[in-house]
Amino acid sequence: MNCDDPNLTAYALGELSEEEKLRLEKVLEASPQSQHLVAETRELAALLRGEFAAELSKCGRQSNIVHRRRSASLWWDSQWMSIRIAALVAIAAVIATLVICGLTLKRKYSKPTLAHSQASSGEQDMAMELPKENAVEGQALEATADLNERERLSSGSNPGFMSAAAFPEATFGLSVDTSAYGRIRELIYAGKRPPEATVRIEGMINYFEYAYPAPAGVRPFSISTEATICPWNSDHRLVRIGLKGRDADNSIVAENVKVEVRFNASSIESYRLLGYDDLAGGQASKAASGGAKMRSHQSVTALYEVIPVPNAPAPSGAGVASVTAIYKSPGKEQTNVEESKLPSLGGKLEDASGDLRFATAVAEFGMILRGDIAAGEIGAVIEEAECARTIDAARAEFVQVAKEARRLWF
Amino acid sequence: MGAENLELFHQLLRRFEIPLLQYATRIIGDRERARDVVQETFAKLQRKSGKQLALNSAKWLFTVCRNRALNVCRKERRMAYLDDNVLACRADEELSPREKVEEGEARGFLLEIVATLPLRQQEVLQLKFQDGLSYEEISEIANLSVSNVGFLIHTALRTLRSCFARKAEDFIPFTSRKI
Repeated sequence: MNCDDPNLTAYALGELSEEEKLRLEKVLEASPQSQHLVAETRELAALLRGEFAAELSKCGRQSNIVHRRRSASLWWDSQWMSIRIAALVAIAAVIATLVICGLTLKRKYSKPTLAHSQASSGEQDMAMELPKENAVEGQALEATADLNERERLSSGSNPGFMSAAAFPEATFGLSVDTSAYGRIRELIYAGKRPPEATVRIEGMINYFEYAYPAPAGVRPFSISTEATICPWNSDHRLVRIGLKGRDADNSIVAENVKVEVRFNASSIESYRLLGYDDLAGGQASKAASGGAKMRSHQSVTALYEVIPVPNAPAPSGAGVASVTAIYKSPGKEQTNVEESKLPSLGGKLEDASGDLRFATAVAEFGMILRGDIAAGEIGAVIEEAECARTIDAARAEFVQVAKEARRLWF
Repeated sequence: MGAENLELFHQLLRRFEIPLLQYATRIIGDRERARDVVQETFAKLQRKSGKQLALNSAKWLFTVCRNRALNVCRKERRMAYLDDNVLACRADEELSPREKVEEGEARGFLLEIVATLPLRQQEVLQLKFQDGLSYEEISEIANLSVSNVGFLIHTALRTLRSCFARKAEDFIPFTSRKI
C-alpha cells in the first residue's frame, strides 16, 4: 500500500470512523511497512503533545507579566488584588499548618482557595504552576528534617533510591489511604490539575482490586511477588508485592504484622518505594509502630522501582528479593512467619500479568501528574489501561480519567 | 452573569486563555496584539447567555479568536497567511530581545521545526496536538475541509519525521518505552 497516504496518518491519530478503520486495518495486515509508519506517527504525536504542553506552561508563566502591566479590562483589575491576597493567605496558612503539624500533606491544601485564585488573570504564581510550587515548598518544609536522613540513605547518583547493599531491608505500611484517587478523579473532572501533594501513588495503586491468590490452608494471608521492566526507564525494573488476607468471617485475621522486604544486593543495586511521599520507604512510622493488623479480605500492594546490578550473574536459589512477614494469629502468643521469594527481575511488560500492567499504568499516570516523568508517556499509559478496561468498572473509569487528564494538560 | 455562569466562565478562561494566546500569536506574529485579541474574545464570551456558554466552547472560542486575529492581520496589512500560497511574511515585525529569549526558551526540538513550517500547518498542528481538537472541529474553526486538515497534518508530520530521523543521535528528550 502507498505509505504516503494521509489516511494512514488519520488512522494513527484516531480520526477515522469505525468502518474506515476496519477497512484500513485489513489492508494494514499485509503491510508491515505501513504498520511501522503508524507506530512512528503515534510516537511522534506523543512527543509533539509533550512539547506543546511544555510550551504552554512556560507560556503561562511569561504572559502573566504583561497582564499585570496592561490590565486593560476592569474585570481583570477587580480580581487582581483579592486574588493576590487570597493566594498569600493560602500560602501562609499552608506553611503554618505544616510547621505545626509536621504531618504528611493532606486536604489542608485548600484546593478550593487555590483553584479560586487560579482564576487566571494570570499572576505569575497563580498560573497552573502554583499548586506544584506550593506542594514542593510544603514538602520541602516537611522533609527538611528528614532531608539529611534521606541524603544519607539514598544511593549517590539516584536520589530517592536506597542502596541495597547498605540497606537490604525495606518495609511498607499495610493500611493505605486510598481516598487520594477519588480526590484526584474529582479534580480532573472539574478541570483542575491535582497538586503534587494530592497525587499519592500508593493510594492510587491500592484503590483498585487485584486478583491475588487466596492464602493456602490455614495461612492468614498470602504474599505475591512479580517483576517486570519499568516502562518509564527501561534500565530499571518494577517489583510488585501483594499481600492478601484470608476470607474469614471474623474481621481479625493476623496481628502485629511486620513486613520485611529484602533485596539481594548481588542482583539489585538500589530500590525505591513508589508513593508514601517518597520518604525512605515509609520506614520510620510503620516499623516503629510495632506492626499492623491484617483484616480478612484486606489486601495491600506495594510497587518498588529497582535498579538492577549491571551485568549481574543469574540469580541463585535465593532469588533477587524476598518478602517476609512476621505476625501473630489473633489471640495467640506464638509468632509466625510467612515468606515469598522473587526468583528473577522479570521481562517485558507485555509478558507481565494484567494486574501488574495495570498497577504500573496507574503508577505511571500518577508520576506524570506529579511531573516526575515526561507527559509524552500518557498515550502509552492509556493504551495499557485500556487493555484492563473490561475487568471492572473502576478500571474502565480510570481510562476515562486518564483520557480527560490528557485532553486537559497533555 | 449568574453565579453558575461566572464559575463556568472562569473555568473556560483558565482552560483556554493560554492556548488561545498561543494560537493568536501564531497567526498574528505579535504577542501584544494577540493579547488584545484574546481579551476581546473573552469579552465576547462574557456577553453570551448561560445556555450558550456551555455549548461547543472550544470551537467557538477558537473560531472567534481566529476571525479577530485575521482581522488584525488584514487591517495592519500583516500578510501572515490570508492565502494558502502566501508565505509567512512577518518581516515588519521584529521580535523584541525579550521575546526572542522567550521564544528560544519555550521551544522544544520538534517545535523549532514546527516554527519553520507554513503557517497553515502550524495552526492545524497546534489545534490538534496542543488543544486536542479533532479534524472535524479544526475544519470548522479554520474554515477548511476535513480532508484538507488531514492533508496538512499529514504533510507536517512527514516533514517532522524526516527532520527527526536526521537528527536522531542528538535527540534524547525523554526515555521512551522500548517495546
